[in-house]
Amino acid sequence: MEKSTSAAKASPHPGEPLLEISNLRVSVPDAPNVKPIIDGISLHINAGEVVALVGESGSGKSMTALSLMQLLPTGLTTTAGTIKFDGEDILTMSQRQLNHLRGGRIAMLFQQPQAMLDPTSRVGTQVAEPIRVHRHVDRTTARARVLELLGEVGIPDPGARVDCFSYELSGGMAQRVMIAAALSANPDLLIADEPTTALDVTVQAQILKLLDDERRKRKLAVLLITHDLSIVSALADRVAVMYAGRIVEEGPTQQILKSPQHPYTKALIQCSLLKADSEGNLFSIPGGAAQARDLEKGCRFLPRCGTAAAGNLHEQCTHLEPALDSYNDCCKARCWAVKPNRAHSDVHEERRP
Amino acid sequence: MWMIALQRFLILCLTLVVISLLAFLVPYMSGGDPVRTIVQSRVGDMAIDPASVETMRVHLGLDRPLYVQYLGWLWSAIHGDFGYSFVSRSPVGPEVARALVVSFTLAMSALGIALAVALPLGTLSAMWPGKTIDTVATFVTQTFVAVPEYWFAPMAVLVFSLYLGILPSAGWDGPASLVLPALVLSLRPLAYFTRVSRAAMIDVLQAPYITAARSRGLNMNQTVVHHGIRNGAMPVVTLFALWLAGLLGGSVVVEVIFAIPGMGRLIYEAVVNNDVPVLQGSFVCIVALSVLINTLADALYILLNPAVRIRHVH
Repeated sequence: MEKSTSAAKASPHPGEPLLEISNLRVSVPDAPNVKPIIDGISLHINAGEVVALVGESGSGKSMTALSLMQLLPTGLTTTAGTIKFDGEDILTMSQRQLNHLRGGRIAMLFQQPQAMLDPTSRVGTQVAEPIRVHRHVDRTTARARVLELLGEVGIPDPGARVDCFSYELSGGMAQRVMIAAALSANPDLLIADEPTTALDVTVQAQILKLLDDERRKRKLAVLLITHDLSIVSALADRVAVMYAGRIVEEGPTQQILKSPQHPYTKALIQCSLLKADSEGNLFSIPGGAAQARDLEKGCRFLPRCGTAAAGNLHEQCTHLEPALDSYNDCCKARCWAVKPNRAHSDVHEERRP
Repeated sequence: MWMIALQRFLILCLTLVVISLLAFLVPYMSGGDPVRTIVQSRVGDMAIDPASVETMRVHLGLDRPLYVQYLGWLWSAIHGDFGYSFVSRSPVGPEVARALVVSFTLAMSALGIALAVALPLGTLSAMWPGKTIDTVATFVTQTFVAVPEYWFAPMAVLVFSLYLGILPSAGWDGPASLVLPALVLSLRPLAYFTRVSRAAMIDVLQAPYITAARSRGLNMNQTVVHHGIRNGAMPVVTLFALWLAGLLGGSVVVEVIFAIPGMGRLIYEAVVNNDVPVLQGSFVCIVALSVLINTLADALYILLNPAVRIRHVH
């Protein structure tokens, strides 16, 4: 391990979060009728902190991750908000600055590790890229460093594996390779977008353990994107629950998982318990997330809301969307049924019909 | 891996047997009795003596059963002996070999030019679809596909040989005489290569591993060079082989216009003069070479993309 490079980790802006997303909106400019994919989310991550972003497919988790890297698929753009990384707004950076950031200070892991490796390029070459690009080391030094990294992420016989192609690796091995590549230039922030979803359960545990060890050793901040609440409870310091492009609840992991306030968070936790009712059916949230985007007004979760269905429908639910308000000293929820605690409310979002 | 190689080899052999059979049957398929034709050509307008026809038939060995004739012919053909040209009276084998070398040189030069232009052009078009470079590329490739070689060839001669006087207008005499025909011949494959590499590269640039490479800090150009081109060039390799095989006997127009002693012209003249042995020899050689080239292209494909290896096995 080169310790010299990690000296750069001391933030020049002490006290400020490492990453601060404010009112980020991602939309499809060519299709004005399509509602924004991400609609005004705000989230911060402190240095060395693990923040989980949870929600079902299509809620905008992955797009949030890609917008941090400014690698959104063609057709999607960030149309509002700021993403401050170490005090600087990523959205106003030049391509040059972004290239410096990507892989250098912010690294990313993806869901399908094998598809993320170029089938025509050797594993070692790809792991070496961040060091070659950001640390400007020569081929021989890079190779030595790659061998070291491959050993560190638990790849047996790195000397043989370094010249493999992606198809010669299992999913777990490929994700280890991706982790080695992500860590190679010693980043400050790791975005892990469902890093274990495509893997076997036993391999999942190994990869999560590896990630946890590495981030502790390197004092990495992690944005962990997942839909698996057991992963959240094992790894994350804080959790933000996303629904239909918005954050609906946020707070320290233990508190949110123990006493969730938002009906969506409650339902998610119910689902993850895999409890069956008297007829043997597993609990699931009725409906789909897609319909939420079509709502003209009111709470986006209303059509699927258990609280509202149980008769606790509030007057405002149908025509006004609730704001993300603090309900105690550390947690926020976006729900009319949750009593806001104004004393702790620091951010007053504009309420949109 | 060895199973694939063996399979390929068997297919290659089978193709050659079928092709040799077809080539052997050419004179029989053209109708009429070849022996009568030969005797008639010797006596001119006079009446033919049926006895001399039969003597000739025995002399040529054409009275034997068809399969014996075929095997005899095949045995000679394998040894490069396709008989003698009706026109030049010289052995067909060396004549075809000389023409093949010429056509191969011409085709490789043309396809080399095409590839050298098409890969960068297709890649750039894919990187900026709808922008100026893409529009220009689309226009140029459409022109190259639509306008025939017999227009481009005289125009090239007009400009480079007559006005500028820097390149010979015809003949096969040193590298300078290769330039114009290779250039004219390259235009159509250039257009197709460009279109195919553009389409392939557009797909490749949306591949997950490209996003992953960008996430490691590679800029767009580095990403394309290190992870794009190799993947995007795959379909072009196959196309290249198909074109090479096609051009070996298919560059008739250019060879005739530029008076190049290649396969195209050899076949053209053999057809005009009804020179059956030359036709047979050319036919067998071109098909054999085409099959060989395509087999080699598959091998190259596997070399370029290691992942194909297991896809074949499973």
